[in-house]
Amino acid sequence: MYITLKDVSKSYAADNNSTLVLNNITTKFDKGTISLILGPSGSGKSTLLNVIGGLDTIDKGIIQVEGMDISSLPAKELVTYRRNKIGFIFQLYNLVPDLTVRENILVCKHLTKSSLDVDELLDILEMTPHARKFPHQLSGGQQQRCAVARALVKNPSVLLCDEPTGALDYKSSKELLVLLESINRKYKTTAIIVTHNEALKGMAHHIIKLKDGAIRQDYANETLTPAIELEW
Amino acid sequence: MVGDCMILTRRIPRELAKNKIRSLSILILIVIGFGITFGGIIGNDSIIHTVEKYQVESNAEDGEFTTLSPLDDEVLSMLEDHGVNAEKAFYTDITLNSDSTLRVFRNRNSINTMIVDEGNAPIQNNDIAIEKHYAADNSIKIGQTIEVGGHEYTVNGLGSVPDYNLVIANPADLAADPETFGIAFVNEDMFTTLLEAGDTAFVFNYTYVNDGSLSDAEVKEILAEEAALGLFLQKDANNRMTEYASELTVTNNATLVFGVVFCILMAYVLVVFVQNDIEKESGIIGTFYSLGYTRPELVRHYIYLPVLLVIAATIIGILVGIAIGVPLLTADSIAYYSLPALELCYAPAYLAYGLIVPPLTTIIVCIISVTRKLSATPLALLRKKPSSTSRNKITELPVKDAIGILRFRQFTKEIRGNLIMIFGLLVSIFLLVMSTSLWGSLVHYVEISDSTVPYDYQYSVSTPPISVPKGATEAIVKKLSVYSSQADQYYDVIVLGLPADNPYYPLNNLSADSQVYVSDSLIAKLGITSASKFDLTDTLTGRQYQIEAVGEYEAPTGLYAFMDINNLRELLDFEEGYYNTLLSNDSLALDASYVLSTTTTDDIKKAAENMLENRGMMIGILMIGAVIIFIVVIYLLLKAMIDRSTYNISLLKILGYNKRELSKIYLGTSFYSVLISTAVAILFGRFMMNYLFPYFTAHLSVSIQVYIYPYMYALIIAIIFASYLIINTLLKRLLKRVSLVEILKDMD
Repeated sequence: MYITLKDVSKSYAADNNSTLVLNNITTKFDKGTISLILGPSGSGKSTLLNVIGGLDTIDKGIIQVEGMDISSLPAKELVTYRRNKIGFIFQLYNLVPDLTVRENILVCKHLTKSSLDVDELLDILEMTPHARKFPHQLSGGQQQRCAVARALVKNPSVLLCDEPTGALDYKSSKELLVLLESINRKYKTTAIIVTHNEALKGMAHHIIKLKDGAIRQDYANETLTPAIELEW
Repeated sequence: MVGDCMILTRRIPRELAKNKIRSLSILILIVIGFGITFGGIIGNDSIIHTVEKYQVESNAEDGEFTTLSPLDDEVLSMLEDHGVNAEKAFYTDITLNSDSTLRVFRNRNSINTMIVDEGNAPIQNNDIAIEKHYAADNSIKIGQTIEVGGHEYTVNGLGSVPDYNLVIANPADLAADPETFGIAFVNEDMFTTLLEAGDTAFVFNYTYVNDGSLSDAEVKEILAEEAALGLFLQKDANNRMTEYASELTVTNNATLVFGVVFCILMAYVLVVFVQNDIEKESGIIGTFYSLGYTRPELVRHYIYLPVLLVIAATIIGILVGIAIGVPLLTADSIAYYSLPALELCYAPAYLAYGLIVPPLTTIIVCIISVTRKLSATPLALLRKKPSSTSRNKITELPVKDAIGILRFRQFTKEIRGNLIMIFGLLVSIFLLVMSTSLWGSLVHYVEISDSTVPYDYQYSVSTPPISVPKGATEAIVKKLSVYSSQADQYYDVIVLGLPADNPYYPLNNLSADSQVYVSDSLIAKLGITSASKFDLTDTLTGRQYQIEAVGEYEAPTGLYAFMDINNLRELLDFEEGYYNTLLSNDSLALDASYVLSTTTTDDIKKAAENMLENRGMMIGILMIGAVIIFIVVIYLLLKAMIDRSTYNISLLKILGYNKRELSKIYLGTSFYSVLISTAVAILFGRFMMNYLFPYFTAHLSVSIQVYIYPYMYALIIAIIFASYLIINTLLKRLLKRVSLVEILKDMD
């Protein structure tokens, strides 16, 4: 298995109260697949993504990525882990406002030695005509595509997407999903997508449903539907 | 690592353009701050350098002396054998009209040679070269014919000589007045003719250069044995040659303090803005962290802009300081002292200070603050919850109306911002208080200077008349030095020997030979009590005298020790009946031939006024600079608070709040911050000046007390609040410009 989680629990303390956000999560993600984490707000899906990406720590359990236990890594090595293996896409694009599209992508190119060609990425993402534009000159969908390119340029083996279509309209959302699908196919990137949109299930190889921090469903999708055909 | 730097640094010019008002304000702030600092320091340094160079080029004397008759050539040869090269510098004072006296010298050949600014040294018999300030004040031009002592001369040169930087008739004179006294040079033949004609009285003055084989005291000893020695003056004790430097130190020290305080203020303002930028970009930073950026990489990125800005502004500041500051700030000194053309001196230490310290301070301060700011976790940054954001915890508010509630919430949310502003204002108001106190103290010094002595006339006499004229008190004035461990330097103290029953400083209660009364100014300067023992040193002979102070007299500015005249005669080995000064409340009809100088209370006041005038421009510039710095700082810090609130302002605009209501909410509370800062900074500044002012005036052998007149306090307060009102108006416009769609930007 590429990513393995075993008995992972995590709770947050606030105002003397402890809230369990991940409750004994045990699951695995295969290499080169698209996984979908579904669930209502507060179910722990973003936290699950964050602990896999090394942005957050866990209270107990083990998270292994390519055989490496990242739950016991010190902060400095977690940075290296994120640098070498992880690409993040968030609901908010967080592009640098005074860098052009091309520059926003270039900013992350140096982070790994096996980085991808920026022009090729721009081409794949259909962003070449916008390469010299600044974020404020782009639509939301274009900005998110730029954020995808920024995450992809370092050629990560895992792409973690937290509500990537949350701020997009239907058309842009669909275009982005098609893009993620084609990237997964082309680069064999393991993609984990957090969403509350059940309609995306069709495009994923693997689906996890969370509720109150615990896995309610965890199954493989045998009949894939191309992203272009998804409707909601 | 180069890749990220190369790409992220592309933001710098765009950031500068995007925040051009902010960048420009910071640039102006730094340029003014360092322009003043370096203009002042380089200006002062250049004057000192010019004089030192000029003294070498002109072979300036190591000392001078007068004799009652010309020395035999054998005495001069003997001195030469001892490594002392003495040259005749005889002179005669010729009255040109009732108000003006020209001291005529033979043109110098080897010692104290003239530096000619315009024209030439005298060549022909009817040529005359004149000291440049006297020429300017009396409208004398090159080529003009003037009559001096019955002879007609053509003015063929204007310049200066190193033994008359301060052109005063007598070294004991306090102030130069180029309109009424000047010096001139004729050629050797002409001078010999004048000397032989004997139409006027000549002073047999000699200047000497000493190779160091003998001490000045030994030179004096030899001369005393060989001739009837009048005045003997080593270079260091010659006010004509040294006065310029001691005066410069007041504003030089103040400028250094100004520079240091400004450097702190600059770093502080920059840190505020870098932290603001980081808060604004917390989502981007969180994303970068998520993608594997390390903290040092981002710290490096966020300090590039302030450091580059500081480097650029400091270089511009130094250039502005040199191009504008130096001529402006040295103008008064150059107009007062007789110096050759100013030669700029860029002391490597100051340039190093300028080019290294401000960027280094910025780097260090920014690294510390940015590292702290970037130490938040990636998730905290992504959620835009920087650790330092103030959170409202009060649920029950003392106000009930909407404006009051919002204003209160804004104030509590921005408590940190208000504290930041208060500190920034404290430092900038401190600069204002410092420069005002410099001004106030010198004005006060001028005001009280004529009350520093209780007599109106002081006559320095060379040969005492046999009997003391009626209405006069005989006295001995002896300048000795006292070491101040506080300032680690020597001050000149006037030891005034007086008859015990004199009307000015009665000394009847002195019981021992070494007992003295001291002036309250001396007590303040040395930090001693009125009952303490201290040593006085004769810098010429090295002799030390232990003195015991047993009481004090009021003398607001002068450093005095008052001693019984008989005890002083004994102490200094003067013969019985000796005195060198006459004090009186009325003008005395004395034979001019033995009066070396006359000092009136007007002269004392005029000398004090000269110091104020000479330093006036520098103090004025410091004050104007402090006001501009204050305006820029208050603008930047208030703007920073508004910038942090653009989202909320936009929201309130959408909800229908009008301009007046928004001003009340977002600018209303800043008035109290300014009020608090003003009160604290004035009290703090005044308190700090008690410690700083002795440092500013450490090189002066007078005591100047810190003083700020009530009207100056009123002026400071008026300047602060007028500036605040202007800035408030500008910021209201800024509030108006906050876009309604600002709120949407956060959704992008």
